[in-house]
Amino acid sequence: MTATLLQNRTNEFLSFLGDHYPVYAGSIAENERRNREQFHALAERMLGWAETILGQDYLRVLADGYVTFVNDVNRSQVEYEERGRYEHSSYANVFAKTYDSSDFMNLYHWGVYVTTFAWEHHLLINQFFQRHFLPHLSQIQNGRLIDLGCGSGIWSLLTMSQLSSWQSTMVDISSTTTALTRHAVQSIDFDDRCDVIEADAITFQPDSPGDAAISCFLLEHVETPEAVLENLATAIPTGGRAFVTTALTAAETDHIFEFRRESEVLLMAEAAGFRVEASYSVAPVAVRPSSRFLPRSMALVLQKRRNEIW
Amino acid sequence: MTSTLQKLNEIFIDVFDDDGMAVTAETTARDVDAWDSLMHVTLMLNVEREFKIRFTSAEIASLKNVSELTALVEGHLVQEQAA
Repeated sequence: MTATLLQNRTNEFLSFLGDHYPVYAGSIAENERRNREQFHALAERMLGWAETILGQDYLRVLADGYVTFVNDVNRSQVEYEERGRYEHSSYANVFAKTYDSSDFMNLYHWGVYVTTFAWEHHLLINQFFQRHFLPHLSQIQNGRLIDLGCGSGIWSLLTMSQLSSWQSTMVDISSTTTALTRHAVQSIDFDDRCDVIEADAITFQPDSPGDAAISCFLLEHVETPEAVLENLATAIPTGGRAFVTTALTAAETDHIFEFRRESEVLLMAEAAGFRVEASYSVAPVAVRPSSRFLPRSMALVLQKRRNEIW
Repeated sequence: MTSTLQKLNEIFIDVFDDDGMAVTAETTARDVDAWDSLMHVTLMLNVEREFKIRFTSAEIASLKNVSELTALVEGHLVQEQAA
């Protein structure tokens, strides 16, 4: 019965998008066809949470957030192709109109949330997270995760849902985001295990080191991503694991650090004190052959080194 | 005098690279195979540049057919003239 109800949520979302925003539904339907089992498993879980958090209007909120986000991303990428560089390179330039704007962040928050399962390359990054990072954490009981730049909190929430003894300290610089995420963890009864803190991921210092750390799609939003990686390394003990994702040549209104090659991210992680255990880079399926830039998402599983070698 | 719909049709021909394309007020994305979210934004950017106007994301997302696009363009042009 429960499985049937959850399955209906996924189908309802796809139907809602198809009815109201058909232009945006096609690529999600293709993703669903190509990755049916993973897509439904993740979408059902996330849509269930969204309904609990947002109430009966959740489909409208998610769809509005998603199409607004996709429009902004596509417009940014087209303009990036023409300009040859991201629109902004300064955090100050984007802060006021993005992270400090509740109108922007309310839509952005749920738009990014939906991309976790709706964008095929994000779905595959999530699969990499499940297969190559979470097994390390499952060997630790009563662990604590440090989540720098948590956004909607989805990576912590997915971890908490699978590792029942773990807790997460979730950090984000946006007051709108932290309010929405705090409400989310309360709504789905994770508030006794998740602590949402408004703070700068570059300077945040936990009371005590965590057992593992994550920073998902934050590096491209800051001027000094190496500082995020260095702070990530200080948040865990030697030998501890971290999971990092970022975007390469993928423009958005608030992307300011432009990674062009995968090796740039790898070298930055090594310089911050990590050994790269696994990495994965994936691009959207539908990219025009004439494009100069290939938008990609990249994920790394990292281990904090004890010396210069390992 | 070239109508808004005629100008829009020229933009559609250019963006979809289809010289035989002839959109009507009733044309929707379902009528055009390649009309996905990326093409939609590319189309809107070309419309913006042709008419020297700027759409919001909500306006771009809400369009249901070419008739609504025509009305949106003409509404922006009226606003521009009034400003």
